[in-house]
Amino acid sequence: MTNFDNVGVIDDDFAPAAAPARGKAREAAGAKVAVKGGKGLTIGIGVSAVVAVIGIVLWAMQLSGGMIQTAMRNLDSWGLYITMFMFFVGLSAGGLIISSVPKAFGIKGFGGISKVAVMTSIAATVGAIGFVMVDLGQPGRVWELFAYSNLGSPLMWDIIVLATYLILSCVYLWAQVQNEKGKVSHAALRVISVVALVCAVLVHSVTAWIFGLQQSHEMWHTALLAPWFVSSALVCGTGLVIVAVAALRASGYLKVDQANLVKLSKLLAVFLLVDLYFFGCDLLTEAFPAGSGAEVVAMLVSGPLAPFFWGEVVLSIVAVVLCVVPQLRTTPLMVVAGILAVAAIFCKRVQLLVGGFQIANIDMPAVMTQFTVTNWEGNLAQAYQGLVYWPTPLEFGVTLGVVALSFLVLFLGLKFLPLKPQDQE
Amino acid sequence: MARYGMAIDTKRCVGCNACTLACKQANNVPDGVFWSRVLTDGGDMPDTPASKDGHLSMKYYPMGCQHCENPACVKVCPVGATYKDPETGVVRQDYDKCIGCRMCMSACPYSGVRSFNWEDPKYSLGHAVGDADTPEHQKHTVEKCTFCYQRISKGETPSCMDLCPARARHWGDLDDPESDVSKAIAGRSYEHLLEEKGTQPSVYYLV
Amino acid sequence: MQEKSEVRGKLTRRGFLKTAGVAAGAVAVGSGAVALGDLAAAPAVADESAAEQTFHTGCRGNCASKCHQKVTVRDGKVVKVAAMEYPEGDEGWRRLCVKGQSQPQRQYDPDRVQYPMKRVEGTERGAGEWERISWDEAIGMVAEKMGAALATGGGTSIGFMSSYASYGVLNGATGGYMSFAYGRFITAAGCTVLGACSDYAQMHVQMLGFGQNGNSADDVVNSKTMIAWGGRPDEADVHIWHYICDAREKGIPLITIDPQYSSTAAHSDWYIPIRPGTDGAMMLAMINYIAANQLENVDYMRAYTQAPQLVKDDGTFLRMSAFGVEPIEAGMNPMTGQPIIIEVPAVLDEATGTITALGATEQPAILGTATGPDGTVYKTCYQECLDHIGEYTTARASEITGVAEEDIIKLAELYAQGGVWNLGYQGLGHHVNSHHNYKNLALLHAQTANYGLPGTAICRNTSPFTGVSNYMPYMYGRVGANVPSMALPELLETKMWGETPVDLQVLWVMNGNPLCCESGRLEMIEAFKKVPFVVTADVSMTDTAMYSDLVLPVPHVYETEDYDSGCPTPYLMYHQKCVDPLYESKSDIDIMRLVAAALQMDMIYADGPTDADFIKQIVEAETTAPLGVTYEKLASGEMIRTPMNPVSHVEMTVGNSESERLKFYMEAPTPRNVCGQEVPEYEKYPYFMPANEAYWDNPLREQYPLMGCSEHAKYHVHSQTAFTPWLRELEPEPVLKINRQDAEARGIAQGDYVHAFNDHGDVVLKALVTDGIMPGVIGIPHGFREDQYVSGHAQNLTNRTMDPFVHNNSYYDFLCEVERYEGSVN
Repeated sequence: MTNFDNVGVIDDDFAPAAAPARGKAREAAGAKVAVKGGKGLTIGIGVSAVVAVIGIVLWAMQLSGGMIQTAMRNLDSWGLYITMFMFFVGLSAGGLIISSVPKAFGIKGFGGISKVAVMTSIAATVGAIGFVMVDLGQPGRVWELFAYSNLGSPLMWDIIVLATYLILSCVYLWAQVQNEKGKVSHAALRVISVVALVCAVLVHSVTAWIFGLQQSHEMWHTALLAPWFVSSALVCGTGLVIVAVAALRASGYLKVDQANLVKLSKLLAVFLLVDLYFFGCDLLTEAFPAGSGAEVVAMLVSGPLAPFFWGEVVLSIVAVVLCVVPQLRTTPLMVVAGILAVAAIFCKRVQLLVGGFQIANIDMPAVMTQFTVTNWEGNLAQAYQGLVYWPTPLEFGVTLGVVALSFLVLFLGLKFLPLKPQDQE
Repeated sequence: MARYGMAIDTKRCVGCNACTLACKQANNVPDGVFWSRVLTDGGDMPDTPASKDGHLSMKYYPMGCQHCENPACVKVCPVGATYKDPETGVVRQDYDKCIGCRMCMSACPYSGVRSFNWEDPKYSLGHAVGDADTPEHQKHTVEKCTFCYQRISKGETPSCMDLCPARARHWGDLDDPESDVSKAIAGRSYEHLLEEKGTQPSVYYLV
Repeated sequence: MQEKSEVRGKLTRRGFLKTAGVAAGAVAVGSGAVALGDLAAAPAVADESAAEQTFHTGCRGNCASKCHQKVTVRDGKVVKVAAMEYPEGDEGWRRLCVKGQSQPQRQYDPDRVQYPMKRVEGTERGAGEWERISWDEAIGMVAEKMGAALATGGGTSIGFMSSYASYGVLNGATGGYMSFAYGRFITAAGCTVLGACSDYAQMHVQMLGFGQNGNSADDVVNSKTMIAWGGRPDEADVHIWHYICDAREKGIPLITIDPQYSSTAAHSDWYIPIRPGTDGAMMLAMINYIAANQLENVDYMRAYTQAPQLVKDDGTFLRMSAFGVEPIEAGMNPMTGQPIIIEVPAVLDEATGTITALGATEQPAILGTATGPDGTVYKTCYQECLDHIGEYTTARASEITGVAEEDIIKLAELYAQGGVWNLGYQGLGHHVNSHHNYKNLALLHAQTANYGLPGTAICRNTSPFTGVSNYMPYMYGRVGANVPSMALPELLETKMWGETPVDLQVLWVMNGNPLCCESGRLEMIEAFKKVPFVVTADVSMTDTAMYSDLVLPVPHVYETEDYDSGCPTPYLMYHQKCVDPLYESKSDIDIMRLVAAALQMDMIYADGPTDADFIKQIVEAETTAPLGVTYEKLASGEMIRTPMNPVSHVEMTVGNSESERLKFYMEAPTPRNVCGQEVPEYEKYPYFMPANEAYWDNPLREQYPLMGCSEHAKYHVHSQTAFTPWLRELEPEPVLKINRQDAEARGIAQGDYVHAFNDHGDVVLKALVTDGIMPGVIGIPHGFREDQYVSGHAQNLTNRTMDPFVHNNSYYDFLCEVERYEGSVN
């Protein structure tokens, strides 16, 4: 973990004495914001609701017409949805961790963005769960997860942890609000924040284990995967918070000191470097024995996944540069760094998911049908020549719908929940 | 209690696919789906040889579910829809339970032995073929070779074992030294597919 | 076998429940709910135990395996095909392959002809526009056209063309007409038979001419070396493969000589690629090498071959009658009813140096010459043959075949060690002039004692057992003219076959799809278009049916009873009828009954009001009744071992008498179809002649450098399974096999579509780039239909050139060029 001492100052939210007095005023101010700053937000809610509904219609089409309409097939049995699931679990981390770490360790935070940050986490978690749902063949049987739980399955762990995480995020958010109202003690809030932090770390580890515990995909089967997922989550979570905070500040939703944004971007640089370090460790470990792992490295560096590999590397490095060179730490460039960081981690998710299927364990040719692999009409070698999988428009549509659902949750939260920092009301 | 397994003699197999279609027929396997296939260890297309320094070589591996002793799929199924039958050692699949998450497909190292019904199962015939008690196939669930559970539960052999033209397939209880499969393995060198994955398959390839 | 006895327990239970239901219903009036509950349960249980019946039938297509099948019918539909169980000791003959397993798909194939159809008037033949008509109208049309033809051109103006599609004494067409349906009609009216041409190189020379065939496959374990020369058992006869595996497990080596690297080659200890159509030259070189190095098995040659028989100047054998020895009468020929006259051949007694009767000396000379009392010099048959083939040294053969000289020598030495079992079948006979191979092979096997003894074979015998058969009841008169089907264009031009006028007015195609499976397809289509009226009776809408005026639906094998006297396994093949004919289909015999009736010829079928009556005439005839096989026994579906081979079939088949000796020389070569053709001198002895088109030095190779080849593919029974869905999943479309080097030189990548062409025609199909075919050779698919190619047809590349001696199809005898296809593919 990064040492927060150098960035930590006492969180300005932690002003318990002020809390009860400000209660009423805040509520009024909140309402005012909702009305005043809410026009863009209302449009946002409208647009995301419409897109989410379109997504649901497309999902219904996917279920009725069959998942043959996706590009997933037996040999590449997961696709964009699970990629996005990983990605959204990652996004959900940042907010909560950034919000909870200062509280958990009693250090100074990032200038009143705590609740907004948690809200992004909630929205992202909803998205992540949404992506699992749209990936299921039999969503109507989801109740079985609770009736016939196989507690040995990493997927089951993830479902439990993800549900817990969502609930905890909500509780945490509620606790912060209640704390502001003086109804929840700081000690309790601190306990909740510690639990939430542990859960956030767990959710990433468990998500990583869905992949990392499978001996069937060499690329995934590494002990590094869990910590790496945590670091990647921190990167994209922080990136997301920077973007969200900058956007909200620009829209007048909240005020944040530039210093806090700078702190966040410094933090982002640190996370990015840690993530790249893990990447480097993993590549070296894979490649060094020059065995089958070298195939994985070759696939990433010069094979079909090279655009996503180099994409991640270049985006990460540029983001780091933007974050560490003081002259470049202007708001727009910090936002760019945040976006680049998020994009870099998206590239990483694609690498992981598609890359996991890109190398067949058994590459001996056999009969192929429309169900075997996305590009089934040639031979196996040809199916793996380019990207083994590329989503269909329907998948993009459904994905967009789930993303919109996430945004809808975020916007609704921003609009209807008292997420504005207290001292700005 | 039994631990069913099969041995396939690669020195005999010529890739005729009789086992492939016996399986399709007995289990009324939908169009485009194969529970058992024949892999060619050779060139880049089925039935073509590899060429190395002017020397040609080709070998076949008929492959379905390996019914592992240590199945990767069973561990990861969140609802226990794929499970190891304690009576027979067969890795079974409960279509009614499967939620279609495809975790098992991803976890199974033997790429392609499982098939997800990506759409409503289609059949080239208007009526169901095969064994009367074959479970009905379901859309959006994962299926695979069951060692013809409907047959072995009646003491019959899996359909692919009924008649291999090359007499390359052997079946029985691996724990019973007198079974056909145990006798076939005894004294022969064999290989397991992807032994390094630690799944301990119940399918032995005699080499 | 308990045919039709279904699951007796279940049926009984079902019956019981029905009864119980009625009883309960009666009680229900009085006692209410309990009985209603019982009633509701009854149908559910009854449904679950839906009656299943099993039948004993088989594949009737010409893959030569004729697998006995146990077919399960559930709710009136065929749902399962399994191999029939064979009694203990004969389990090795139990067989079924993908083609049998997918028969239900073929039966319910949407491609089936469902009702009689006539070509829409005004449309061109082959345009594919059809009008459904009634059977009455169809038979009326046939009767009108046939009646007019009989009246104006006589019987020969009606032609019956068949190939190797379906077998059966009722509905088949062995030899072009051997069945009740067709034999009766054709011989009664004296029609023209247009018979298949495929495989006649081997059949006319080796099987019919020399009477040679191999031992049954279970004999391979007795061999010392197995050689797949001219065939690939893995695909073409997979059912015997396990015997080969048994032999290999005993340490018996397997050698494959083939331009294509087959699965058989993959399992072989030695693979020898050879240029297509050149095998004969290698055989002659091996013969010469063996002779030059005195590696012959002299004792065998003396005792069991033609080698010592003396040949006169005119090429015929010297017989003792020339020295006044009276011919011997040796019983009656059952076929002709004439006495068999034996004129004993003369040989040279090595010990005394005198000419004596065959059999009179233990040591007849096999080499050299003998001088008769009058000073005439006679050569031994072996010497005569050697004198004709001297030019084929191992060096020369190496040039021709592309096989290294040392490999030819090594192979010859292996042959000389004896115990050679040749697994080849038909593959050496698909070039023009290729029938000579069978004389060459015979001499090679004669030199090395590789025939007629356990553990030896000259070819793989695909039907080593003898069924209960009797061809006499098919005959009602005689065939008007016997014409090879590929001669149709000439026949239409000259309106003569030999001395017989043949003015073809009606062409009836049955049991075959010649426009898909015979070579020279484009010329044949043009000829078809010139025939005034073409009828095709088939199960499915074949390429040939497409070029007809009238198409008649016939049932699948599961829908009709029949008896097939062929016997690839030691059990008699009777086809039980499993379900009623689908759609409006009618069996060939029923159709011909109607046609005959409409032509007032019904008397020809009068002795067979039912199909059973006809089958009885085969198995319960005067000649066959003593064998003890009755119609009732056959119809019961039990497995009946043929009484003709009660014991082991691995026996010595050579002997010392002239007729029992291994032949490699034709004293009086007779063409397959006599039509006034000249018979060249070289038809008598082992010989090599390059192929008509596909030979290495052909100047045409500058334009068309690639040589043709093909195979008997594992997913096809000729064109019958072209659309069978499961088989098309395994092999979705036709492919052209091309060597990687040839492909690279032409910019062709794996899976590209290619255009193969020559002066005969062209085809567009997918390329299969492989190292498994020799450079310079391409493999075309067999068994796909016209609309499965992007354009053209593989058989458009082939031509109709036939050797006049055997009138054989020459599927491999073509040159072509292949280029990347740039057009669009749907």
